[in-house]
Amino acid sequence: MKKIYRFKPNQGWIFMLILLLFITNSCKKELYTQSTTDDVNIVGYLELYPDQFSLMTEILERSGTSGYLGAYGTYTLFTPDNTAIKAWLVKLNKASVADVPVEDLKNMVKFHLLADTIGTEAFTDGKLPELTLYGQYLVTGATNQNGSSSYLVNKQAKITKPNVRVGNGVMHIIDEVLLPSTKTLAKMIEESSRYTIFTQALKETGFYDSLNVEQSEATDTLKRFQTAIIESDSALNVAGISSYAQLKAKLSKTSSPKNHTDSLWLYVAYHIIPGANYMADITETSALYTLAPREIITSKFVGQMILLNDDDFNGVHEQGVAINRSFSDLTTSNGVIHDSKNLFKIKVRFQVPLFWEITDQPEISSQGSIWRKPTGSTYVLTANGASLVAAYQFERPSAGQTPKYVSTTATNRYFSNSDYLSMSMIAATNTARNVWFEMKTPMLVKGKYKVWACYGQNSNGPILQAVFDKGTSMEQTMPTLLDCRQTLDASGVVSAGAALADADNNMLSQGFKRYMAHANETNVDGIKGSIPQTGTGWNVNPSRLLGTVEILTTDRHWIRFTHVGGNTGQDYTWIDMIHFIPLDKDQNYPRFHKTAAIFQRPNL
Amino acid sequence: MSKMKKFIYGAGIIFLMLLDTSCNKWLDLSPQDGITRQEYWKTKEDIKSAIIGCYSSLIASPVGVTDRKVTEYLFTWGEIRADMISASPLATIDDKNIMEVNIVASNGLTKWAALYRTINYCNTVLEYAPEVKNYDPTLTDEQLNAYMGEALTLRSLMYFYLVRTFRDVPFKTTSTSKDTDLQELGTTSASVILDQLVADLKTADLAVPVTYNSTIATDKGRITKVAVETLLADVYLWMEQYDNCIAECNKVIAYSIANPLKLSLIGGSNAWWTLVYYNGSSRETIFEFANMPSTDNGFNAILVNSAKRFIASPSLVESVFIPDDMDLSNRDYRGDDVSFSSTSSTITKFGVENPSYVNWQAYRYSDVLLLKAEALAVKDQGAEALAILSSFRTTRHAISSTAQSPDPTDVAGICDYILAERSREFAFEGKRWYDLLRNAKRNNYERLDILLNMVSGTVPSTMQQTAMNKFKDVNSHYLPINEADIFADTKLIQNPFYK
Repeated sequence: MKKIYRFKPNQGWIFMLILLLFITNSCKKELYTQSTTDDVNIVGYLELYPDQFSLMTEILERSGTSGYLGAYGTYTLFTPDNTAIKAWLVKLNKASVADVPVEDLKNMVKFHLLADTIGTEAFTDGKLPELTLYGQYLVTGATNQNGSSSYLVNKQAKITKPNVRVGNGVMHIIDEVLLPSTKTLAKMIEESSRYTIFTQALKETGFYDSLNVEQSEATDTLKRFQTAIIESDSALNVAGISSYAQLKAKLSKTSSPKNHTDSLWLYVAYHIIPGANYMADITETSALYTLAPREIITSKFVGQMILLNDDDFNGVHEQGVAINRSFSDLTTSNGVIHDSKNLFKIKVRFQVPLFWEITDQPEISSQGSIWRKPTGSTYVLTANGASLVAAYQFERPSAGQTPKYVSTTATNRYFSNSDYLSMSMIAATNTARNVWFEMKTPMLVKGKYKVWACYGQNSNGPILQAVFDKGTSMEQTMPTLLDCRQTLDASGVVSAGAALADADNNMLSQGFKRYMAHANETNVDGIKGSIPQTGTGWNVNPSRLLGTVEILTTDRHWIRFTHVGGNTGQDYTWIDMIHFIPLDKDQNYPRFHKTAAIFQRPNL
Repeated sequence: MSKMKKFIYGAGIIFLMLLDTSCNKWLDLSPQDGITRQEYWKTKEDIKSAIIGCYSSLIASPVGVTDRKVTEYLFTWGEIRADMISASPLATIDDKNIMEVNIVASNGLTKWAALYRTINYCNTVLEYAPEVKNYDPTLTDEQLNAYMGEALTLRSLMYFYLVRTFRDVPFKTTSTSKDTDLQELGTTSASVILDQLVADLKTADLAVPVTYNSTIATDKGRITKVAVETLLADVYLWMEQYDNCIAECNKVIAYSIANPLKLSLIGGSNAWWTLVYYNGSSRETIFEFANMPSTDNGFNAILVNSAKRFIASPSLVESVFIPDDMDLSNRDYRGDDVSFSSTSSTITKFGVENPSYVNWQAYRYSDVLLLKAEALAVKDQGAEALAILSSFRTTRHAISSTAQSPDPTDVAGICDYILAERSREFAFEGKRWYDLLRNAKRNNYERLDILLNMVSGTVPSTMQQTAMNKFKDVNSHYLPINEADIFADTKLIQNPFYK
């Protein structure tokens, strides 16, 4: 019954045929996606919509830029549509793109192109974070017309379609071709009918020429761009100046306004700031450094207003002048012009002592239930890895042993206003504590001051070094270290001699002083001092002379305390006040009290 | 036939028989670990379970869905564009972009899927519950209508949030239960949706029970007649139909007067927060999303722990809960140390425990009083509005530093006062932005200044002017449709501001 199956010849053919069928079947070509993305690049996108962008495509081709805009990269292109380019051609008196010289087309593309991807999220009320390839900043903003809002670029073009993401960057479609400003600051000011008096002042003082230098030709790189904040004729009129002659008569003290010591020269220099500072930049900074040597303009943002030189000085509020937004942010080829609503000039100030209560900060004083209430409460000064007080900075704001504001009930040590700053310091980097902290002083008039640190003594305290304006060209290190472990005994005056008539002078000669009034002192309101004059506790509120600082600009300055030695106890660095006293002023008085009472030097 | 063959045939037949019987299961495609729609919807208990499922979807995403909770969206949409919260250093880019008025369609906070999920659950109930009548003779019409009324009200609440946040949205009223139900739906204009919500809520008002005759938590956690009427009053106020709004408020107020133990204000005690929030289901509440006893409300991660995204705005102590400088112990029961901590800026209203089970307060009786006051003020009945406000403030122990005294004829002044009082009463409850927008848009945006003043204080100084100019475009007051939704549904029309 066994039988071996064999192909008959014709059966073999059938088998082959079936096999063949399989083969031809599998040969059918399948469509695989061969690229990783079908995103187009800038050029590709423009070519997709020729009805909108055929002219821009043509410009890119003729200017020789379509090659790199079609390749990999990170660009932002402000892309005018066909209507915009047609209007531009009419303005140029050309019939077609082909009639425009290639060099002009290149410049046009460069002015619309930035070498970074900048979406509308990064737009502010001022300049974009990058320069255009042309070398001028673009300014952004928003406008509302007939109830519909859109982004505005250079106050010229509206963005009709923002944030078009393409493979090599982002495009913003605009409805007008952007035109770079071709005039310098000097020319723009001269041509405006608003500023005839100031123009003449520029010319007479020689600033006209320095503001007339194209940024590409500027030799001083700091002055490639400059900012001029100037008064219109009408603003000067309000101040009683109706002509240049009157301005000169009022300000110029020497016969030659070109002289750098002449007040008119200083007046004009005070209106010019190096760098392109748009309104948005000015709102972010508190001080503008002018061309007048060591003179600054302070700026403040209140509601919607930018106020210049609006300061509290020595307890008195000085009303500032407002910037006129509608005539400001005027871009020129080498800078930007702002319009001030009123006359402003350098303020002549005289040095006054500053008895700085370092805890007097708006963020702390708004804590009504704690602020200067002798309740023994604390307020932690950091949260979520950031300082809660604008005028304080900490090396490690995330440190677990947090810096605190303390309002104290303690009777063994008294503090002015019953409050102080409590820190946990350490010399080496340590995640739990801070190596340094710094504080921004109130306004200090330029000049030399003796710096006194007033602290609560603690034997677990650190040794700190004080530095002014760390990291700037004005950095100054104080020669004397602040050893928070020292009592007033370190001055050589001990309890037994503390009540003697020359005790204060002896301490002073060693760089120490009492800053809290003692119990045998009575002030004009009949209040007695908080600490004993001698005996237990007389010496634990010392004030230490750190050295002399030369303040170069009338401004707020940073003072930093760095841990350099001593102990590292938690919450054992207690700073109460810092005194800045001009060299020729009384260093010993006034003294302070656990309340806000002040003790002037008694009349002997 | 040989024996062998017999055996083979026999075995073959048995094998066939086996195959035959087991085939029954092989060809049965119904899942063995779940219930299909055809098997469900048979008894009234099925409807009840489905309704409870609708409520559950408000407090947690269903298994397998990774999305933010509905309550997180409601909190964010209601607060992030307004002035009561600020970004913490750990806020996301999406958070910061919205706060800086830099909103684009790719922002993840513009996803609306969580709300549509609840809407779909409600639609499923509305579509299939009537079929149960065919199977369950014990289901009365009254009972069925009550369930339908609950679903209608919940759906209306979700659409009301969507309309106030996005304005024109797709309006789906049928369920999506099978593949063929998927359809591309265009946007429906907000006014059409609002009209439908009014009609739906009127239907629901006749159907839902006054009380469930169970625990008080049931009456507060499920839709009751007063909840429908309160929502309707809120919708009417948004639609600027003031007489209708007052009429609905009056119904709720009448119920409260008749049943003060079930619905009335809790006053005269600083335990207010504990009673209303921590314990929950107080007599003040009209409708709450019931996280208690065991569903985490999720706010610890957003508002409390060290990685929190939002903190209380530092301006609250200057403008909302102004302390009494003479006597610091004299405090508003809703302010510092209750809703938030002014020393750490932490928002504590939803509890500081992790996890926290504090319920989401959708509506409280205070809402009804203030809605009515607002409608009265606009209807030139200022004196009456001020009277409501005055007695309400006494109950809440509002202190004199936050009192205002607008003239009874000064409509704008009274509305500002009510707005300020609402910011204290509903601090961080996802209502602030809608309150601002409702007041700003009234009478064809007569009070756009409310929004402009607000935004000038909340955005960074460098972006202030741009943000204000954006806000002058009323389209910008609504969020964009998320780009993923636009991509998936070609019929959706994007808000023109974001095109």
